[in-house]
Amino acid sequence: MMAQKTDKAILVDTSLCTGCKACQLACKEWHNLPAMEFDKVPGTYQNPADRSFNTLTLMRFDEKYDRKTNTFEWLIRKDQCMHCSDAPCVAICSTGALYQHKEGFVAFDQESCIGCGYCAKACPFDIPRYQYDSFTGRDKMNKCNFCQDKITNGEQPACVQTCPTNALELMSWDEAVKQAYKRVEQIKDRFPNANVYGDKIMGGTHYIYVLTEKPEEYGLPTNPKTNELVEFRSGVIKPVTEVLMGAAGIGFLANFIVSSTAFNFNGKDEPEDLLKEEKKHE
Amino acid sequence: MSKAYKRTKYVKRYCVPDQLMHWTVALGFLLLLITGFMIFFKGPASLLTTEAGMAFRQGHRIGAILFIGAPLIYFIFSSKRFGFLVAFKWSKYDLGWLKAAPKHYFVGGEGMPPQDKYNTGQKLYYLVVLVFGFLLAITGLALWHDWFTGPLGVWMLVIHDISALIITIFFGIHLHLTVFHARERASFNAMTTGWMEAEYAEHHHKLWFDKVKYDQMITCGERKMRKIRQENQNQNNTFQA
Ligand code: SF4
Ligand code: SF4
Ligand code: SF4
Repeated sequence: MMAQKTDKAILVDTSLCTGCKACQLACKEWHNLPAMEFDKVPGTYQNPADRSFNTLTLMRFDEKYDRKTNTFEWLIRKDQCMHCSDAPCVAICSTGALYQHKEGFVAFDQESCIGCGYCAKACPFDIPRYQYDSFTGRDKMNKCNFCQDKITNGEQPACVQTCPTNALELMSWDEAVKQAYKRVEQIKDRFPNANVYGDKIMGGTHYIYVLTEKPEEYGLPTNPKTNELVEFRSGVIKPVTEVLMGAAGIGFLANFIVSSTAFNFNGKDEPEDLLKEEKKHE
Repeated sequence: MSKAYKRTKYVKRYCVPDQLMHWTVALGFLLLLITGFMIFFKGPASLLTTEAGMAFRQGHRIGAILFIGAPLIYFIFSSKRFGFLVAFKWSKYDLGWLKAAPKHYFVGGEGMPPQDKYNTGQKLYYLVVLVFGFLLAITGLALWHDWFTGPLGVWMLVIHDISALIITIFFGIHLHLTVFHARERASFNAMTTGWMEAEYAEHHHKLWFDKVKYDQMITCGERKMRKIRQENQNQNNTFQA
């Protein structure tokens, strides 16, 4: 599947981001998620250390210090689900809790999630996070859902709405990609490595980034791909299982009918042998 | 002579620990089978979101504990811990059996080569359970405890699916033959009571039957074996006296 031009997308311009974390808080606020992790992350402004069931979007702070030129650069990136068009998490989801919204992004119905944990294995960005249960291990999953409720009501996602510098903007997918390339051109003097991230991977993601440095500098995969096994599972294993189980069932039934009539076993067959046997012993 | 035959109407086939292990694994597997396929297929999986559904997910874990725990305990405590190796012993009789089996199980008929305690089909099933049961256990634990994320995690899932499918088909055959098939009930009774009808044993497990028919020397544990030896000894003594 490919992103449609009219899909909704969020443009993230890292050159405009000040790392104020307003989006991180707005997201928690809107989704009613408590602040649970108070672990300090020494040496950076990042907090908490990672996204979690309660932190769907996290400002990542990466400090880059260049000894040669004695310069320091701060790479700040909003980290959340990328909303892939070709989304392996949707393909592997056991229940259909993850699905492609008609606006293109990957929506999530937590009610239907059974916490199987398959989505995290399939996601090339390691996005899904879980609530933990002492016995079953994982419980419910959680991830950025593009504020699907707000989108459906014609509003902007909470993080976009709250961003004070316009580093986050909601627009059509087509527009977001065009804008992104234009901005890269504009900032080329200041950031020679600036690039657009998202439009060419995973069928086009619905978060489009203007990055000031190469993706790997931000810890992003340069060429994320859908694991072929995910396709194999839904395209081959599942249908083959259905056919084989059906065929086996029919086979057993046929055997049951044929064998019970053929043996008619209250009558002859074995008891006859038994009689012979009995005679031998007498 | 007729009486003597009646007395050997049954032969001891399984001892209590064997039966316990078989039925615990069976119970665990049944739980795993039902809950597993409910998760595997999207339709039933989406029914699992309620409280009851969560109980199903826990059922899969309980099934796993029984399925893995019973053989482990058996392996640690039973003196017959290496009994499973029979599944790896194959001879020329087995080929003959495989050729004659389809006809035999549909319309009866002879030409089945003589079999030892476990016939070829049972050995094959045993082998499948050992190999794919092991894979299921390992991949299942990996999925439960999130040992791998990313592509390795998906591999675990795919191996889990395929092993489950193979074991399920063979389990279907096993269940069908022992529970529903007109003539093989004796085998089922043997696993529930520990005793097998002698005629059936002679017919289906000739090589084994010839070994055990006279002395009932199937032994359940060292103590019993000593007791039987003692009894035989006493009998011989009284006979000589
Ligand atoms: S980033 Fe991961 S969780 Fe988000 S849509 Fe893509 S595959 Fe799914
Ligand atoms: S954990 Fe939930 S969302 Fe993820 S694949 Fe399983 S059912 Fe779907
Ligand atoms: S789109 Fe909504 S759910 Fe996603 S990061 Fe922004 S506020 Fe959070």
